[in-house]
Amino acid sequence: MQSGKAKSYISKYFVIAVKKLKTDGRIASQNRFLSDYGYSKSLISHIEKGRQDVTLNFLYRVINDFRLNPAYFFGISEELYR
Amino acid sequence: MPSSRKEPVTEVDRRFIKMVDILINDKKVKNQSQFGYSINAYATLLPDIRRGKRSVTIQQLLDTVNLYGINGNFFFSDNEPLYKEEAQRQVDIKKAGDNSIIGEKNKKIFHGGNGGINGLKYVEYADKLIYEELPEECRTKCKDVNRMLCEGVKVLYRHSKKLEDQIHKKNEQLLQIKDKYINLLEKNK
Repeated sequence: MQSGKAKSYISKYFVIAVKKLKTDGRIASQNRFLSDYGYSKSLISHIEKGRQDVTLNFLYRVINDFRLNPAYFFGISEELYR
Repeated sequence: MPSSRKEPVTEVDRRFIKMVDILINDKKVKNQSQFGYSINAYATLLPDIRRGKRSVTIQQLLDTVNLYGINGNFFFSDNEPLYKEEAQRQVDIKKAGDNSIIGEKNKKIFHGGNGGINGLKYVEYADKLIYEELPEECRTKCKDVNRMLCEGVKVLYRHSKKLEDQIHKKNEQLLQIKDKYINLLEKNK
């Protein structure tokens, strides 16, 4: 898994979730998704490389906008969607 | 050193503050400073978050969750219990509820198929307990009431789902309005 070096497991699951959103057609592209939220398109790559964590505010917005299951990001549930 | 820049307190920060207040109230921690030290942060962590000088980090959140047995979902969705124990209890209740509400699943609450009491399967044992001691007329009535209650629960469940969807839509609208005003404020600065 490319996101294995992420700083925290929440960030690791975040990267996996973004990829799944893309696969499931919920977002058009990673870059578009990041720019819609006002983040640089290199954010995912930085998180994957363990340079930074996803911010909690960003995570909160994504969870609520896409109706995701917060437990997924804590590794408690395998269900990404609520 | 905390930055002098002030940002609006985020929803996660707001819930983090609420959590610390509850921990203090529940006497799990003495005060804000002690809480800060307990998660390897600093005494002014909470005051800084309250003033919008800092935001809670993922590491601080994870340390808190692990140290105080907090339910991580509490920070990200509404109506979540604060403590893991309570969250687990609710999950167990929900599982039992899911198994008992609709049709065939009704039988699973007794974990029918495999187990048994005195040679009877749980389902049969439950039927015996509920119906066999009763006269035929009562048995029929009980079954009718049971069916009615199940239908009622299904209707309520559908209704609660609809309400949940409506609340979610309203939340989205509010978030959009909030974002709009934040953008306006930033432009006006």
